[in-house]
Amino acid sequence: MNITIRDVHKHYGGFHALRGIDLDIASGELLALLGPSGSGKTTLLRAIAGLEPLAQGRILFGDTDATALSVQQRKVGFVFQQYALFKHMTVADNIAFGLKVRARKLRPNDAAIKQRVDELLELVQLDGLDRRYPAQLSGGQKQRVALARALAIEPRVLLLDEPFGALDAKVRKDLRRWLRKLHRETGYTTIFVTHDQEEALELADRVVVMNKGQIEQVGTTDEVYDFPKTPFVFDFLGTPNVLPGIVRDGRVYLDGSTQPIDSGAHYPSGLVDIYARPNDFRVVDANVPGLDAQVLETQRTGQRIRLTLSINSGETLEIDLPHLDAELKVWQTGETIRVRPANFSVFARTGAKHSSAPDPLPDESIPGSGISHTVAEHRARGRN
Amino acid sequence: MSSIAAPADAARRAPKRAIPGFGPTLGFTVFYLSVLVLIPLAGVFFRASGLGLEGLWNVLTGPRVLNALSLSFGAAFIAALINAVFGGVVAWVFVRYEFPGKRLLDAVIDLPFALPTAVAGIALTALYAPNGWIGELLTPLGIKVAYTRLGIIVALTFIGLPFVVRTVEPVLREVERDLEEAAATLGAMRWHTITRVILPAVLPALVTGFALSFARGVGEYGSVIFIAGNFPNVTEIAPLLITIKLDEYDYRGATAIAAAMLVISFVLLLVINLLQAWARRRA
Repeated sequence: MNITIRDVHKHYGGFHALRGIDLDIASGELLALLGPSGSGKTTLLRAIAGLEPLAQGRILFGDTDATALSVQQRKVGFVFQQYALFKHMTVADNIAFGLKVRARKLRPNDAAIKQRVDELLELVQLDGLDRRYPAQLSGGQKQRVALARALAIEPRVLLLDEPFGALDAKVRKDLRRWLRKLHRETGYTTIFVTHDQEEALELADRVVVMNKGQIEQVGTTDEVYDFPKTPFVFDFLGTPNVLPGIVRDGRVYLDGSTQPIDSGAHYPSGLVDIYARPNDFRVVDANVPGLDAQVLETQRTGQRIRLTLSINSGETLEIDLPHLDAELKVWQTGETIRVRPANFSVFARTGAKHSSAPDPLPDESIPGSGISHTVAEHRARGRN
Repeated sequence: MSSIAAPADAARRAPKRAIPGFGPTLGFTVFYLSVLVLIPLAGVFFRASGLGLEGLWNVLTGPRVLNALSLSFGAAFIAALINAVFGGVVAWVFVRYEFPGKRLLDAVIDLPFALPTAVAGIALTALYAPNGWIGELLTPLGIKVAYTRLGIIVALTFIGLPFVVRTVEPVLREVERDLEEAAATLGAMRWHTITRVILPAVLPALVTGFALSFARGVGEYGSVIFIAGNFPNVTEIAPLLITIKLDEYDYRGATAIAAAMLVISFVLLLVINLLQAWARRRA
């Protein structure tokens, strides 16, 4: 069932939790709503389920206006973060609940219900646990019971609120893989909420990144990871290094460098922030445009080596390099190296985040460049 | 020899428990219960035993005593049942909804705890007497409350209400909203959600509240004697009969009734406790 969301707003008193959400969800899609707490992701999920009444906006299930339907009529499978299992019922009764509460003429007979429960138990790999009570199950098992219970009603859409939030890391990994497989097998349109970028990228077909009640970016996992549209998205999908820079005539310069690291008409002119992930840096020769930095610390973990560098503005830079035999090289603390971001995003600088960057110093070697150039000084110090 | 005895000695010493203070706290509990509860109650049985079995039997099977006992337990039972239903509703309202004056009403619930019961009895009598505010309205309908068994039930309901509300409230608060929402997403209508999801979850607390309200009702004296009219065999409760026997210096008779009340109460509370354990196991 495809879902169309148009201009959805939600207020809690004075708090504007959803600010005009427009979203199209394809049938059979596995979609992640990703964002920090307070971003509105759970509110949006609950709005789709009908658990949050909307003052404004429409949600369509196929061609049906779901906004006019009650929670009961929407037929959504909702899996709660804390499972919300009925503690006084056995696993089998929990799963059968949605079928047993149907109006008499829509209710399957007992044998059919039992068969459906058995099928679902097998699907979620809990065969033989039907007589147990929720208190006798592990967290991962409870989660799967909750899922089976939601699937029992053959929902139009499956909604999961932080489905793995309460589980430990190992179980979470297993369940993720298992859910992906389950989705492939059953084909339900599935939307899940998470604040864990790794979870979103690993599990989903498409990711919706939300912030402050708005959608920052919608895209496939590759799109949002490789081409983040906003600093927020970049920031949320990893821990980037933010380097001050400038764009002139479509050429991108790092602060303190005279050679552009890239050029293109699409870059915003003026002062910019260059966002680059630790693993997107390369150590380059001194004649290649880049950034001179002093090694503060090196730390090797298995196949990767992590360098903490100090750059001229006084900020530190974390870079993460593959540790390959061929280029085996040990950088010494205090050594000065030149690094260059191989992949990066450029965003016009807003606010005062980097206003404390060093004032442009006059530099004889680049007359009138106006670009801060304390690197030479830096390098000199590194040699001493 | 001594080298073998040493480790054996150490092994004989009981292993330390993880939770400290078992000895002192248990000792204190036994002492406390003995001084406050067990010894006085044993005194009741000791006094009553002076009658001998036959004497006891004669006192307890007297029609006036039987009537008083059945009235006390019956009225307390009905009142507790009423409280279990309506106290549950009150608790639900307090937990689930916000409305103006909620805090005030919340405080009012506790009044029966604090109010001298005689005051409650006088107030209720004034209200329900044939010329009282409520009694006036009920008289044309042929309903008499004051000076009847109905009046006793009203008084016992009044004093028992906070017991149910205050035991159910915290449990109901812990029934996560999630459960109701989960039931709704699965297609359950309001009624099914209440009967199949919420009630089973709060049932143990309801039973506790019922037991407390019932126990309080059985022992209640102050509020009842004003509204009951106290006609022997009709509206005379067992605690009043005990007082009357005491006034007549019939100490043995009084303790005999008291002992009977103790035994019946104990058995009933035991049954309720078992019921509760059963309900809790299912929850």
